[in-house]
Amino acid sequence: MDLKNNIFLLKELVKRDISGRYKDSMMGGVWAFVAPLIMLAVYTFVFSMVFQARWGDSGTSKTAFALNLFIGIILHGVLAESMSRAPSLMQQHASYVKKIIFPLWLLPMVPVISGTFHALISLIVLLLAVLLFQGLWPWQTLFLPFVFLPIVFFALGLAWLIAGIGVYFRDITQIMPMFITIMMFMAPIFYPASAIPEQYRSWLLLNPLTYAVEMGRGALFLGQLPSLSAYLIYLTAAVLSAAAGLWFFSKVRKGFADVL
Amino acid sequence: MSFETAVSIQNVSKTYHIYKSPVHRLMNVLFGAQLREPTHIYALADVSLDIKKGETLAVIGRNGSGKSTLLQVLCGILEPTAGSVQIKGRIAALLELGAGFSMDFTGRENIYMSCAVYGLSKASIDERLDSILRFAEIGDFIDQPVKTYSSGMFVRLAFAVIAHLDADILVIDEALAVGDAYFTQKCMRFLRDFKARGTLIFVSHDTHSVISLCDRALWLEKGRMKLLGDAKPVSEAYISLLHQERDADCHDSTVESQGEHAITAQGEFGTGEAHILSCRLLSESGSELMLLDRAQQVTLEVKCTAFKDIQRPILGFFVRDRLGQPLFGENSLEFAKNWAFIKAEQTQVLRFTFAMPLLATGEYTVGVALGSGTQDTHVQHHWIYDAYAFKSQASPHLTGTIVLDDVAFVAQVDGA
Repeated sequence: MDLKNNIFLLKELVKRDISGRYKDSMMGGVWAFVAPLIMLAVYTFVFSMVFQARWGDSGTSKTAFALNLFIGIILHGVLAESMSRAPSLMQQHASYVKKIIFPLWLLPMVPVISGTFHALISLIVLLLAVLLFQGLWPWQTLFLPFVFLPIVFFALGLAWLIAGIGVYFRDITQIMPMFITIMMFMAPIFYPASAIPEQYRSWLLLNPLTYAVEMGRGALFLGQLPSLSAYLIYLTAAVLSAAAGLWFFSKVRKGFADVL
Repeated sequence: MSFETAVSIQNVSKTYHIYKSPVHRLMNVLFGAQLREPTHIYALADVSLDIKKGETLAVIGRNGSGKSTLLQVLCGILEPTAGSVQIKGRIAALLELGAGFSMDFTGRENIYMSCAVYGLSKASIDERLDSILRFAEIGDFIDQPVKTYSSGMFVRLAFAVIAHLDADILVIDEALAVGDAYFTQKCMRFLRDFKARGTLIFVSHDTHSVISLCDRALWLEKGRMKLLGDAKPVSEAYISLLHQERDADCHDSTVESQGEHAITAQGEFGTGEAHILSCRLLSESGSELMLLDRAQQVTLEVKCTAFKDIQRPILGFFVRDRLGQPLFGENSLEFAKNWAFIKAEQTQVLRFTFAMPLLATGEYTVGVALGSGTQDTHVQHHWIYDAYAFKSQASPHLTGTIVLDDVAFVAQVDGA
């Protein structure tokens, strides 16, 4: 497994994946910007105008709920895209599995990278909205890329794991959408972590999203940085889960051609 | 040729387990545990051989004998159930026509992708692109999506890519069969050059190219090594076995072909608007030709009937050897300008008369086809691959396929 020699191949695969999505649409890549913009507008309307929801107990502005919600949804989106596409990846590329010599372990990386790409575009939309409604960003906003980094590693680990299982156990295609939704509600996305009753709070930390969402909100809205040690523990857990996913994938990969 | 081993295959077996549930299979792959004893099917059984650097090995055998499985195991696509494979060097494979091509992308994009799969960087693909394009000879089609390509173009493109990967070991599975003669020659030239620097493993049904290209041949039979040795004796042994079996098959049908309405048919197609009722090859004396032992004037007699009016009918025939190679043939277009139609419900007897040369000892078949139209556009009403079978007996010193007739020889001192 040699990423250096395969970097061009990976780039091509990601390029095809992203351009393939907009290939036959009239507005093409503009959708990548328009879609998050519309979603943010809808969240703002529903939660700020209709529900008149306030984020936490501090007297925040009307738009704060939508903005706090959106950063959670963006981070969740990276995992969601990877997890929803991973189960059928090998079936979709059956000829790569069976007919040619192909570095298959690259394939699960593709939805992770293109999911991250779309998340970053949404993040730009979010940053512009924050600028518009709340004024200049705190300098801690520069920390945001480090919020995404562990999520990308978690997404890689999950993608390798799920892609590997998906070959043998097709039911996972049915299970995944449910699982993704559970992951969304079992993380502080629609509510601040402080709203969770004390006795359940540590359980939510099992969700890899929880800590990232809290860090992202802290950096962007409150100007807070996590403690270095907590961050490093979190990052290490992410890297380890990616390594475990890759190990699992390369182990079960040997039987792919027999099953497909 | 050096004595370094390029590919080492040690006691490789490939067993397919029929599992009750895919989850059992997952557990097996993951933990090596046999949850429930699966049913076994052997695709390869205890295959061992070393292939030296610079050596060319042909793998021959019937369909389902494990040839493709062996290649897939060599390439690391399939994991052997037992035994091990060691590869020294970069391996490239052409296992199936167009595999790995993305249909919606252009030929050029697919070149980049296919090369990238083998770990080439953009810069090194750029460098090779001209040479690949020249080899493939696709012309302006290179910027069209590959779904518009003919099978010939596919194989040219795929082969051109494989030829430019600087691989140490090439694995090729019958891919050459679809190319035209010109391109096949070109591939052969490339492969001959390649032999000087790399190792070639080659599956083919074409024993001629096996013998001319390969040093050694491995004959697989039901996943086992039946014979391993020099290419020529192994291929000959393989062919003679096939031949014996076909003889046994043919025996029954030749008996039938004595009757007038029977056709020694194995493969046929056509619109069915007209039917060939019988096909006989008659010797000079007018009897059915079973054994050809000298050149003679022969008559191919075909009886046919039409179910609809057939305008501008054409009758064609070809004579093939036991390997299915066409030796010669002709059609009626040139010779039957006044043969305008066959009326519905009419039965006609058609006769070709020609000088049949004596052929090398062996078995031959005559294929006939009844169509209508012109040389360029015509429909086949009834096409029979093996309509008549006969044997030829030539003197044992014959080399080649056809015995010359009316040969004269004069020896003379120059200037005398």
